[in-house]
Amino acid sequence: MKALYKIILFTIVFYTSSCRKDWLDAKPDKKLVIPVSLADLQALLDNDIYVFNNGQPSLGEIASDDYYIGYPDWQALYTSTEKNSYVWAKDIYQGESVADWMLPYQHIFYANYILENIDKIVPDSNEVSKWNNIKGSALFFRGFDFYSLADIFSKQFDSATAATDPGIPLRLRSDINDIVARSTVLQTYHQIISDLTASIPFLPDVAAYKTRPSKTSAYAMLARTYLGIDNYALALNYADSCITIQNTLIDYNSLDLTASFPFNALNDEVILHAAINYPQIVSNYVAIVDSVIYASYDTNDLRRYAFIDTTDGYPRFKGGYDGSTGFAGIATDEILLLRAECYARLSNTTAAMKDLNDLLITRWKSGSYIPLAATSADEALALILTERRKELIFRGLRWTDLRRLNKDPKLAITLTRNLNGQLYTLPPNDSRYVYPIPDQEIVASHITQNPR
Amino acid sequence: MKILCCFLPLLLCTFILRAQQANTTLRGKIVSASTREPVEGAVISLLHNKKTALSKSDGSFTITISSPVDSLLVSHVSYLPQTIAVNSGTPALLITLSESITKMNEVTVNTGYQNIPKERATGSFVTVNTELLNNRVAPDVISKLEGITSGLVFYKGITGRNTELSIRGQSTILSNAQPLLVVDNFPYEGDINTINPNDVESITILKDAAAASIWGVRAGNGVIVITTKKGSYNRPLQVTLNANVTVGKKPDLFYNRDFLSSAEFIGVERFLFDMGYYNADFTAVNKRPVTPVVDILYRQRQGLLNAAEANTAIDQLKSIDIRNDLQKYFYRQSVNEQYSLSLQGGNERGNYFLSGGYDKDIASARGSENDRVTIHSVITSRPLKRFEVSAAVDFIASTSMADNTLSQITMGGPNGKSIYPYAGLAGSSGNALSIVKDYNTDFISHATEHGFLNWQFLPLDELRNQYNTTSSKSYETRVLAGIAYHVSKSINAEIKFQYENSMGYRRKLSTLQSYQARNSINMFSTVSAGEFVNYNYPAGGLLDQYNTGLNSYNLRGQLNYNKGWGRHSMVAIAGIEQRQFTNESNSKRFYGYDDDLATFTDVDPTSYFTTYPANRSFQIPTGQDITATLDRFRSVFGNAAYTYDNRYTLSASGRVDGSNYFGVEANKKNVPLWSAGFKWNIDQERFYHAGWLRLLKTRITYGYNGNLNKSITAYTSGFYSSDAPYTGRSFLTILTPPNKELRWEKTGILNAGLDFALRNNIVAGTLEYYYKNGKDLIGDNTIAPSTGFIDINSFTNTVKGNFANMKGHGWDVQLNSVNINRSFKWTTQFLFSYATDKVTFYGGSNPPSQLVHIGNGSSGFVLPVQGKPVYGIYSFKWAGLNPSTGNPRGYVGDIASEDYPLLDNPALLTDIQYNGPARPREYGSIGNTFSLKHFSLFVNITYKLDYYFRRSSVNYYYLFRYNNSNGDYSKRWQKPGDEKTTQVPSLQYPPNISRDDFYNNSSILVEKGDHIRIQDISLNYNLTKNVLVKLPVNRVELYAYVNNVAIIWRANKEGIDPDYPSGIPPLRTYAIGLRTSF
Repeated sequence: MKALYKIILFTIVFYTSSCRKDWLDAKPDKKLVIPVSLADLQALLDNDIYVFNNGQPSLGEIASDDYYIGYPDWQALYTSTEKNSYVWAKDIYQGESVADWMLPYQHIFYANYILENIDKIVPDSNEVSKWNNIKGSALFFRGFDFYSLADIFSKQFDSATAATDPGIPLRLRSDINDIVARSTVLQTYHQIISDLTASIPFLPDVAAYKTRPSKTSAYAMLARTYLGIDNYALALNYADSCITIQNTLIDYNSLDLTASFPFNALNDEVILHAAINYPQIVSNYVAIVDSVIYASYDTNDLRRYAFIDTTDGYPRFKGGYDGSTGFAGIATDEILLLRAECYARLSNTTAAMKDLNDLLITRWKSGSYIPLAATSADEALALILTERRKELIFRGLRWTDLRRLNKDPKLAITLTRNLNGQLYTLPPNDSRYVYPIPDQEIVASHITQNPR
Repeated sequence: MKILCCFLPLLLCTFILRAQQANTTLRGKIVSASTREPVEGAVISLLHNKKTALSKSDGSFTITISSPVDSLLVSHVSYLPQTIAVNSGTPALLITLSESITKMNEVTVNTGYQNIPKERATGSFVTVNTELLNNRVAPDVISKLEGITSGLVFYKGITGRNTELSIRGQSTILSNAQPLLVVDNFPYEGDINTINPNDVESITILKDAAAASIWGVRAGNGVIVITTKKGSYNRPLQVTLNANVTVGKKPDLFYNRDFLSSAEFIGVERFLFDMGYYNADFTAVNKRPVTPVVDILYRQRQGLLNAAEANTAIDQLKSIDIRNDLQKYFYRQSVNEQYSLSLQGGNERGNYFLSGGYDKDIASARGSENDRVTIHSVITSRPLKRFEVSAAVDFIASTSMADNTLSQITMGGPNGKSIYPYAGLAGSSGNALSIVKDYNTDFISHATEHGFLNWQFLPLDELRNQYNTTSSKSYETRVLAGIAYHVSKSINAEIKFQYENSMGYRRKLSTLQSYQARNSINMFSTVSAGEFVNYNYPAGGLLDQYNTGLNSYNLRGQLNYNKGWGRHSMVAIAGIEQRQFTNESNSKRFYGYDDDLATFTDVDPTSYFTTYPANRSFQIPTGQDITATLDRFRSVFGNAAYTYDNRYTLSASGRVDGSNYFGVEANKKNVPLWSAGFKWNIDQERFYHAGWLRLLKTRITYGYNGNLNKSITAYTSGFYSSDAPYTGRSFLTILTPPNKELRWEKTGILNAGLDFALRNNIVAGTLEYYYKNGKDLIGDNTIAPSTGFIDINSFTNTVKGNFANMKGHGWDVQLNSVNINRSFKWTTQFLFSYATDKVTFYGGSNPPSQLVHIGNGSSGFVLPVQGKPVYGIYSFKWAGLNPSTGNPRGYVGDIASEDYPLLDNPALLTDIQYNGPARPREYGSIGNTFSLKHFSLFVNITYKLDYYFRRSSVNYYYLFRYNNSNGDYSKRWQKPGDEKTTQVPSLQYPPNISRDDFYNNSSILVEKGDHIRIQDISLNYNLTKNVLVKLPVNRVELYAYVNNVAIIWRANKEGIDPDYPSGIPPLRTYAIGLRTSF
């Protein structure tokens, strides 16, 4: 019997010794973490292709007038969403999930998670700049993605109705159990501006990688936002701050214009890299560049060759500042044009034309460019908007411009499409300029739908 | 002290007996016939004067005899009763008891923790012994179980999945649904298929909670306990040799329904060409490939060929059928050889079992070969009286080689098409021919003249020269050590340790000569005006290495208690165990690899290169990854069974499991699971006199089994990936949102069984009913997209949690009958199982269209619907063809409609039809054994009933775009009136993808899966010692075996094997073999 006791004793000792608390705490997968450290939070922000620098809305791009496609190509589109968006149908998604809604909110979920956890960390003195970068980046991306969502799913800002027009749900916590109703457009823009403004003190002037936010990109986004709400003075102010830090322009004469992709991703002009949530319809196998735009490029305008490929007889978009066809980030050319527009709108014709000419001289064949001149601010504005159209094709900006410029009866246009003999039109300020909230969202959180 | 314990009662007895000197004392000892071990607890009764006594731990007994002549009845639960005539003068007796053979199957069942006498087992066990296993010739163990194991079913041919096992249907939704595999008392982590079936002694299937709950959280899907062979004490050397060879036919490529004859296919191409369908291909920048027929037609259009020339060329192609070349050059008869030699023996102090096996498998796909060497050794010894030590070492080395050419015989290009049916692979002299692959023929010849590597694809060349192969090696080592200490006759303490290591090395090599390497090198070259300039992709072979290392250790301490006294008997165990399992893998790619020199070249993985001729920008992937996972478990377990008078048995078991569940609060890392059972041996009752029903027992159990799902966590978790494309930094992706309410899955199982046997076992059987109630099962819950949480696997806004419940119930019936029992003997084993499951609560929702497409579990997805089984066949409602156009029609509401986008994407679950379960609800087998003298013949018929599958049909969109053919094309509606004889829609141009998708998923293509097949037949010629007196052998057995014999009945009229609705079913194989021992 003694032996039995010995055995029992032995096993108990064996068991309790293995009962060290940490034995069952070992991670089941080395790559798994509960992200709480500074390094983890930065690694979340560095999730560039899957999260933060990807998934910018494409619905606006699909519905805008940079291109057209043939009927067989339209028929062969995989998703109803793309087919319906192309013809501005009333019903868009037909039950399909909507990545344009899901992905920006995914970025916001990440940003909120990071913001909740960064505040729990008290950084050592040598880690303050890391801490700042994380905090600033998360704030920036939240503002950036709220902006992207507002641009598609709520009405264009109108100071008369902004306080009552429904905005987007403003999720400021990562808790997935929260049900958040729609804000107003005014609240939405308040949040965008407050997030972007708050990010500035934490961000470096220039980021270590162009996939990370910086003061430059925050200024640029604020300039975009203020331009959208017609506050040209502030827009000018922020565009100026941005260009003060980064004013590099690529001389298109230095490009290999015969290359199928003349631009590299993260090139000198890029301020922040972001990619569109790739639609099939805008790929260069399918979309044909609008013939009026194509014709508007002078033969000495190198953009005609840098942007467009005509190998198969149709003008096809080669690709932009992502080395592919889906750039939706921020670049110097856009901000320079934005500043020019603000100068023009604030009647500073000279400054407006200087910005425009500074840009265009890099776009034309060396020695062939004759600087443009304008006698009035209105004339300058018209020139700037024309060049903006030519410079920023397939950048995800056209839809925003249509929504914005349609407010001005002088600039408003009606879009038309001809598909298999049938004509479709989209008049200015139509309710179809606001996309419906995805069905899945309505079912889950019962928020109000946009009229269409 | 122990000695005192044993002797004290004995002394007392003798003292008492001496007080009654008037009578004679009869002494004796009882031992087991097989082991010569003393038998304790046997009841010794004198029939005449009604006295009884019990045998002691050393087998001895004394009983007082008062009448001069009497009969002594010796009985014990595990042994056959024996009656001995005695008188007052009888000297000390040595009584040898034989093990009872009255049990239906085995004497004991092995749960992996203990051997329980079947007589006293309350739970649901199925035992498959060596003889049954030997009926089938197979390279692995598991496939031997099919059709002979009650309650076990194999799901085969599910798209995107391997063959799956299921014990009594589905018990979980999103978690692992496979039964736990246990080999020699411990979970087996390596590849179970590498175990040599010749080393397997028996297999026990644990089905209900009482049987399986000892395995705790891993028992939710049932447990398969495999016990390998061991030696026995006191047994002379026995050598057993088994050798067999299995030959299989070439696969029948003509069975495949997804094929269209060359003539018809060319008809389609001509039609499409005339419609201008290929026009874009001729001018495309990326030099898209066109098939030879389209190429000829294009040349004709350009005036390079006249009509007669074109027609002659096309007619020549019409006579080619790629299946002939494939069958001739890419397939062969399979040959599988299996040899196994074993030695076993033992004396008083020790025993051993040693075996070696060699298998060589030449598969039907040329270039594909496997072989395996296995060594199994066990030594058990009793160095000291109360100690037993055992050690076992198993080693398995397997290698396999496969050629990758066959899978590359497709047409590439931007769309990735299937190969055209008139592709000739070999010329008249057997020389290799090239097929159209990724680019058009003109481009390829142009490129070859301008500095590029030859861009042709010659499949037969690749196969013959082994340009593109995958070879694997794996080494599996298992070491077991055990020590048992017999504390007393009834208490036994043991410690068991197992270490398992499995190393796998896989290398996929595409040499510089392979098309794959040449294509990549050419594509990534720098090109100027069509001229090759330089390589960016190293000009050499490509080697992909994938190495895995798997380690597990198990340590178990266990106390066993086994005691019988009077009418009572008690068996109990208690123990603790700890196990750890690690799995590491790494993959690495070498560019510019030269296999002769083992040299390679580095690449620039960060730069973007423009590919030629497609003009796309790509990076050269590094192909590197490392993973490391770790599972830890710590468990305390115990069970006890008490039997009274061999009539009533009560059992209970409990277990607490702890695991390194990630991100879970400590108190939730452990889960307690329990079971209880009761068994009533009615036939042992005094009132029971139904002699015709010799055996009648009933039992009932209830308890919980668990399941693990480590994919969810209580806190927000994420996983790291390396090398973000723009920064090169490591980055983190969020995997799970926090879930503080996370619990383990639990399934409550009620099992009620009845065992019976008629006189002489003419009919004997088991009937079982069970009811399963799965609670807190892991399920999906749909959340608002604005929450921003996206499940990275399904790309939907769903979270996993304990959101689902399901129920299931069913029957298992097993009947064994002896139909004729003379010199000609005919016995039958009939198995029938009914298993059904129903999701009773599910928080997620799935779009109806998705259910139609993948609700059957194909593609590896699970889409549960409340009120339906986990896997179901759903379809679009079918309203027949439009008689004037041949258009397929569905229903919108009650109205026949051709609004395909709407029909193809219905809003509500009620808009689609639920046809029935995708997995058989009824299944089983009828095995007949006929024997005459030395011959025996076993014919096993299996059946699966009450389920559905979807057959493929023509999809015009895919036919045009991807060359995906289907024979139904020939049956298509072509003119009004055809709708009376066909349900295949008319050809429509341009194709409408929604129309095709609607038809392909409509109810008209859903078929009943019910079928009956003759699975296998084996014929044995068996000679035993008494015939072989002159030969130095004990036994010679010659056998012949046919597997996958034939389907004898199927519900579908299309001649489809419902186990393999697409692809090619396994071939019939023939085996002959010899088994002998001496």
